[in-house]
Amino acid sequence: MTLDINKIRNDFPILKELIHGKPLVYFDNAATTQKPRQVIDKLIEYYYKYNSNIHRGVHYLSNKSTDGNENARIIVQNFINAKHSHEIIFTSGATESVNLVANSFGDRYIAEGDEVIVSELEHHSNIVPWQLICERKKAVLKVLPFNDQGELMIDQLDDLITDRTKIIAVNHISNSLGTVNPIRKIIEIAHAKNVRVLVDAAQSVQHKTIDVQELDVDFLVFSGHKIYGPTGIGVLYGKEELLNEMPPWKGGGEMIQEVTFKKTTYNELPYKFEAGTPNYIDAIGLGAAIEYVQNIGIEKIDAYEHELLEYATEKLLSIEGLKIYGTAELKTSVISFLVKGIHFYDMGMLLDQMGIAVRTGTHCTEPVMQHFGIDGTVRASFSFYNTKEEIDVLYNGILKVCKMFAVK
Amino acid sequence: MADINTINKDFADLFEQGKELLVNGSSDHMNETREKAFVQFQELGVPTRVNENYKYTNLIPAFDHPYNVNLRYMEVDVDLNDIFQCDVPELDTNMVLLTNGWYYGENKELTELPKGVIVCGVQEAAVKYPDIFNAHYGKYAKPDEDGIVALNTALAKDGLFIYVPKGVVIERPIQVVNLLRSDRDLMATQRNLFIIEENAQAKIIVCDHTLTHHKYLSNSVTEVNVAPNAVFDLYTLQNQHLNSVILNSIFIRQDTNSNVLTNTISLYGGTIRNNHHVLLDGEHCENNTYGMYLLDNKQHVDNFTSIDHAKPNCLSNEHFKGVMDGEATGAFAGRINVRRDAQKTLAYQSNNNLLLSDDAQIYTKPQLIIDADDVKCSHGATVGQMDEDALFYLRARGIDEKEARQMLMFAFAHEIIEKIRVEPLKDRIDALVDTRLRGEISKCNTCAIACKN
Repeated sequence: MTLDINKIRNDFPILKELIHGKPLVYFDNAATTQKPRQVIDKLIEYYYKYNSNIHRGVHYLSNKSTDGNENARIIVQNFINAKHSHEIIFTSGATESVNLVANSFGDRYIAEGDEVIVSELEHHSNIVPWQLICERKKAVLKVLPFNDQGELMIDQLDDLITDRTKIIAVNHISNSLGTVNPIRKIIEIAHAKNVRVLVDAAQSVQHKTIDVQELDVDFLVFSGHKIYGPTGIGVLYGKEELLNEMPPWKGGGEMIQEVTFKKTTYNELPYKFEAGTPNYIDAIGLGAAIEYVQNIGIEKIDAYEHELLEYATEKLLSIEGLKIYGTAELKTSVISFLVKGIHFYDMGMLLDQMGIAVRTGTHCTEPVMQHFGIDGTVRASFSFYNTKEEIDVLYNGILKVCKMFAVK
Repeated sequence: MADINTINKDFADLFEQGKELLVNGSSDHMNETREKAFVQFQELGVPTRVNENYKYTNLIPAFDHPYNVNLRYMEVDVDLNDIFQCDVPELDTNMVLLTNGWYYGENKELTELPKGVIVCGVQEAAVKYPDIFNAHYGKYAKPDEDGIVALNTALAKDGLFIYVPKGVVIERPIQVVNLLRSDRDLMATQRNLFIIEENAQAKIIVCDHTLTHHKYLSNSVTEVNVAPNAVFDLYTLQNQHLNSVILNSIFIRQDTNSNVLTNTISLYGGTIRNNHHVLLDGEHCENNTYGMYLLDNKQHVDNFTSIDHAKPNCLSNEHFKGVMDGEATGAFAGRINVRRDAQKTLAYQSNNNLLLSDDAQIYTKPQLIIDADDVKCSHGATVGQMDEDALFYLRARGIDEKEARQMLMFAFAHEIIEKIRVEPLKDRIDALVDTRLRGEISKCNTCAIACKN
């Protein structure tokens, strides 16, 4: 049973747009994904018919919005197989989720001289929050390196962990290289030494089935907009006992039980971490996006995207002077590349004029670029609504650019 | 600090209140162009950093000052002997003087020039030679795309007009000295028009100078039309004091088989913004756009270039180099546009920068817009420090470190200087650059005026 790509493409209105008079070829899915009609319609429906602030009202509309928001929480819970829906905290995105854990977990568990481990593959959003807390707590940030294929040197992890190590923060999939990291193994090694693990799944929930209970992961974060949902909504999954022990990070309405000027007691999970009016309509939109993905089937999506990756890799490697960065055994549909003698920025700009959207630069992973001794790459990242024909357009586009940049 | 709206409103008021002075003495064509440009200025205003093309140059502080504006010609007391600070020894030139953007009333008739060549003020040309003037004035500059150009067009009263008739070759370069001299802070508007007819050849050397320590803002627009088979060189030497702002926009249109070389050398000046616009509007054109900037203190130079290949089989070649020290900031933007029909285009571009201090900064941004298929380009931008290996090599041969650094910087800059197609000028600028890099004096070394640069 293969995917009906034409039907799928019809679900995404933006794919019919012309860019510089040419059909859009959208290969910037690792930065953000496009939204299907089902998600857009859901947002519009709520704004048109049901909008009302949640958890406070006694009236019909408020109950309708509240139900929508809590239903979205259950959709997320089932999607990643969390034990309880209150282990799902809605945030503004993966970045805020990491910041929440770094601050709140850090506050509670990290002391002077303790250690935090991140990988060399991380996005800045899984480095900087840890640097900040380490600075504040006089703790040490350590780095698990990767090899030239872009694979984590997992055999070094055991030695890196000491009895002062409190948490390991690692991404499931690298946004700039596409490497799929062995998170199950990382969690095993860490747990054997009583170290907690945060997994950044911003680049994986849209490609891979994730079961947080089976993984036994302590924290997992992702963003809505990278899984075909709205911007400004994200998820933090945390184990109930950890979240209960952690102090609130933001204060405000919604996260309190009782307030006097002497003392405030905090609300229960998940509301303890959701101060202020939540982004409930986007949470409902995220629910719709996850349902859309589930209806197609994540395994099918993964298989088809892998086909695209293999096709594109072979095609691109046939171009003289083209080098792919990130050649791990296990990869998702992300290709970072450079063509000898052509700056990534030029390549991106000229491809754009052909209607092809790719990303250029460091992709918020400067340490990865430093590892390879480069300033940046061109990154093409595919989704299940992309086609082999579009990859041909990219291939021909790159050839055209190569021809333009003749050596003087 | 005034906000941009206040600045724009002040100009609108100036335009309305000074209407009589502005219109007076200008030809109808100039005034019609002026009126249109004023409407465009009201839409655009002075560009702010929100405008992508002005992202790295904040013009608000430059404009936020109670400048005087000369809407009519003011006698300026210039001792002609003073001018030789910009004289080029052994360079036999025809010299023309402009003061505060106006054609200098005491300029001697350039009798040495070949027959038919016209060199005079723009205001005079508009009235005396309306057919030639109206066919070109306001045709190449784009006031609808840049508020600075719109402002210049709205306030333009005078500047330099040069006409070189068909087949005439001017052997001796024309040297234009732009003097800013005033007893008050001044905003000068200058509008030049150069017309090089078929098979003609001319070289123009422009030297910008400030003669007094007052704060200056000079907003200059130059339009150039280069007819088929003509050859034209334009050298600009920017050498003003650190309290001045130079806004210099050049619009060049090239016709079939023409050959143009521009070289803009920024030695001194507080804030400099150069807009280089080239339209290759006929087949088989060659355009070479060069530039160099040597910055220290808190100087800022921003070179914006736009090369528009409208016709097939043209070659454009762009090279800008900069040496930056102190807290200087620089920017380079290189836009190359190759239109759909401009097949067989060759477009080369490069920008190299040497940063000598930790605080110096450069923003370099190439931008290619290519709609044709058969195009060859190359470009590169580099930002680096002094080559330690080369330094070691020189020092190992007994050259002291200071001198070795000097040699390397000079060699770096020389690549742009050697593109000058006027031999004596090349030597002269070599010497100026050498002095400038040594930081010995901050003005032309033959300057007779101690203008406290």
